[in-house]
Amino acid sequence: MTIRNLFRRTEVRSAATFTLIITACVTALFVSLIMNLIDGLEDGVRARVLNARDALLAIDRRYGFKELVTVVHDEMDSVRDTDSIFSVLDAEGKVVAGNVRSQAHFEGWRDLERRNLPELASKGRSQGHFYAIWAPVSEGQLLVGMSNREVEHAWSILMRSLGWGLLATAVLGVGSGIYLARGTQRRIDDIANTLSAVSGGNLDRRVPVKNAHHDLDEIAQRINAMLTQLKRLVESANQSSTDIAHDLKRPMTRLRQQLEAASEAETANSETRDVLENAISEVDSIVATFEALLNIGQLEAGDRRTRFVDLDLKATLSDAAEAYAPVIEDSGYHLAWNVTGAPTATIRGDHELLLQLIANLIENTLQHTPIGTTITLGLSVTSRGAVVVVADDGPGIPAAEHDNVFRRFYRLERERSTPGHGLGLSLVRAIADLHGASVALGDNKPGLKVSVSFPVLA
Amino acid sequence: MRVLIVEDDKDTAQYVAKGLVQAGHTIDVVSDGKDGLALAIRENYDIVILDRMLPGLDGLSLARTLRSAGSRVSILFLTSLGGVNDRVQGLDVGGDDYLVKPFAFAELLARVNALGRRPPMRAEGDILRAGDLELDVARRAVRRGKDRIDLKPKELVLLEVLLRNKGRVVTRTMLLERVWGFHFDPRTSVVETHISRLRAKIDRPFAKPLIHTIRGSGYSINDNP
Repeated sequence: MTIRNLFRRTEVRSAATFTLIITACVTALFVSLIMNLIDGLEDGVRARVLNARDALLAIDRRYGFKELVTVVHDEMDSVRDTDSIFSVLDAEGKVVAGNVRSQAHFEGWRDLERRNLPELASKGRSQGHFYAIWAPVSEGQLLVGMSNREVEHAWSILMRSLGWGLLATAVLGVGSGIYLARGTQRRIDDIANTLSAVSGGNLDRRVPVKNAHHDLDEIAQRINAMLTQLKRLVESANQSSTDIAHDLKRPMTRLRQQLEAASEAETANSETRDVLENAISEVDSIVATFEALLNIGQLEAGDRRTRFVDLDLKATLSDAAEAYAPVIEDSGYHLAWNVTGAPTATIRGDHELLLQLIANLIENTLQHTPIGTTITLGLSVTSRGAVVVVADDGPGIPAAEHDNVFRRFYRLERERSTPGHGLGLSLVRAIADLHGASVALGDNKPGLKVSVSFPVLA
Repeated sequence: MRVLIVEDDKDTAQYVAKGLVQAGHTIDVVSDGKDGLALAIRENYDIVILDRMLPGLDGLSLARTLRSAGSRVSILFLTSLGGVNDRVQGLDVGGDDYLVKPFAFAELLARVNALGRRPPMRAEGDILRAGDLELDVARRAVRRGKDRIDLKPKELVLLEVLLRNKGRVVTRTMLLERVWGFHFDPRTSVVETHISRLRAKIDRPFAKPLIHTIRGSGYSINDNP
């Protein structure tokens, strides 16, 4: 299965969509959480900076600038805490204490990057920020700043958990998506398989129904109800065929027997015999007509498909040609062959019915074209299908009539008086339909060209 | 031959029985499927002529039961059910032949005769003869007297079917089924044309014709007409 095909499957598509949506939700949740948390943590750091500043300002106010310088100095000496920065400038702007000496005065809060502070370069980490603020003191300026290390730490923890969280969500999402969608896909496959089995002639197949409250089960139930209805219709059609066969053929059989007995009676003279024999052929032609109708009905019901085998269409065509070549030649017509493409044309079908299809087309041509006409039997095989062609160079059929000729009992106006029951092409179409083949009439310039296109086996 | 007719239509049963008796067969008639089955199992018939729609037990089930009971009697379905699927069903359950009503009595008689004395499957290399005509089945070679005769494949099959039923009538429909696999009635003279071509090769050049047309019924190959 190619990737393209994989994505055409509903289950994969819905799993992917499902996962995408869940992942987006989780991400949005995390992002708002992280933003708020980080904001809170930053506010906390700034509050601690202000606390430290206020403590130092209190020392300045109470004990004077010198004491402030001493305190800051001691602090630096004792802790060497690189999480805090201090700087004290005197009235001339000269640095008198602190672990940072390179910063000029600025207004308000500022983020100072650790790597821009040369004084701290030797002391461990190079990453990170300080939140720093200047404050005026009695004889100069004081810089207080604190590291955002805990914010960064929190950030990295949060990002890591976001990563894992998303991974877990994706895995769970894809998994549960596939699980849920597979159930649905299986149901859809069940429905599709059932429908193709039914159109293949197995009218007893039904879609399995599991849980009456699921919407797919509701569809399944309706399909099943429809199939039951269909089966009933087909059965009643078959039953009426049987009834017709029984009720109509019984008197026909008796009639024919009586006519036959009468025509063979010794008392019958030759004139009577002729009349009786004509009557017998009338009976036979009536029977042939409704036999053809019953056959079309049976073919349309599709039962026969269960008997399909793999066969070579070319062999079937040759069999038909072998049967008809002498008839065609001896009655003053000409036979031509036009076979192109692959050496064999394997299709699934019923040899007997296909033989009848081709025979009907040939006989149609013999019946509807004048003596001297050339009948061309053709077969072209391509990867797309096999096309059987029966063409002639006779008078053809007007394009407007092309659709009509498939109608049951339809006769062309000019041929009303010729014999035949007008079911030949209906039967051709019924056999073609049974094989999934299409029948097309075309202009052979001059003449008629009938093409029957079969799907070939891969 | 002993023939059992299982047929619920009295007129038809009587008509068939009368004709077959005239042709020299011994006939029993029953109208019920169950009686038919019992009789077919108990008695030693050559042929059972079987309707499909019967009271008691339908013809298909009767044939199926008869076959599963090990009976090898020839079964000829004679039925109104003439659809494309119906005949296949009949042959599937073990029927040997299938004739659809209404029928010509000559057709039924020819089929009964062909079934009753159906020759056993012959070994390859068998030679079929009629007069001075010889068909070597295995080598697909035909001679008449000293002359070799070239036949097309279907002409050969046609001759073989006629020879295997030598002295008996083979009807046009039987030939259509057995030579060409046609289970429908062509509106053109497929059989007649092939027969006339075959005659042109094996009869016309010789003094004594072997293939005879039996009016109203079919063809027969025979060396002593």
